[in-house]
Amino acid sequence: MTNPHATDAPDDLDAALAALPRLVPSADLQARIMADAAAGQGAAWARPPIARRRRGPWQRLAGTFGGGGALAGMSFALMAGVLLGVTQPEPVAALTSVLLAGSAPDSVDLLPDGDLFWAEN
Amino acid sequence: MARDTLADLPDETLLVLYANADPDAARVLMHRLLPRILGYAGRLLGDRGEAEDVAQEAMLRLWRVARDWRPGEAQVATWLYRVATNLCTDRLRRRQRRPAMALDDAPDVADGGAGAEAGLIETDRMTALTVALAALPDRQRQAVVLRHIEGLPNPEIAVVMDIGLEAVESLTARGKRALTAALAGRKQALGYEDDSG
Repeated sequence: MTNPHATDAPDDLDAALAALPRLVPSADLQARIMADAAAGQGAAWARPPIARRRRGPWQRLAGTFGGGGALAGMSFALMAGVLLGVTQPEPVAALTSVLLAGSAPDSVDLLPDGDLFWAEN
Repeated sequence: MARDTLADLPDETLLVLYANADPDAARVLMHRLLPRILGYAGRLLGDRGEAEDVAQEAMLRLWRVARDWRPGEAQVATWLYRVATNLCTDRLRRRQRRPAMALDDAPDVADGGAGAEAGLIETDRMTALTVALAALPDRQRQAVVLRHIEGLPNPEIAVVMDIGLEAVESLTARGKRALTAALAGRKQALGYEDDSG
């Protein structure tokens, strides 16, 4: 094999090195390498990457609130609020009785005089 | 794609085609690269069986890296030489101390008739050079083989061996000096001219 990249002045030693006999690939080695190549084209490391899975409804919801952590925090606060409202722990009940003493309505009419409104029109 | 067309394509394009399941790209790449890698590994290891193992492993790593190959970052052949170099280095380290053959241990060529003298001198010369090359320190041998047998330019050798250009020049120069010294006593018998280093 000649050396097209050599920049040194050619000499006997260079020529002798370039002329040294080389190993020739055997048919068996070539067959093994082609078998590796064929196996590779069917193997996981040669396949295109798997497409990203579509996001589920919970992942989309979490994304809306800034991620799973934020959604978990808001859920915890919601549950704590419901629990406090239902169980009415004594300190909370005492506080609300003081704050709302005498002014807390027994009931709230969210649609006042609906019948009268319709009757007038 | 037709084999004739593939033969004109650069290595990198063939690798991309292989990654895209072109059945012939691997064969063209193998025919192009395997003789070089096998010859290189054989010259470093001095053993055909081990050289074939290294060549097969290097080619396997090439198939594996095909899908993630980043065009323009490295030449395929240079990358392959580097992988082969590392594999050979591992094997040489495992051998611990490679039994260095002295020039006097070179197999003798049977004495033939006068008509065969030129051929015998040539055979003797190749054997002596092979033995002297095998006796070089591993890094010097890698540099000399890459430069003077594989024909790589120094910048590519620097990449393959993961060293600087000056180190490449130093290794090849020292290697050639060592070869010249090893062959010096037999120059006349081997047919070398004086002051060839």
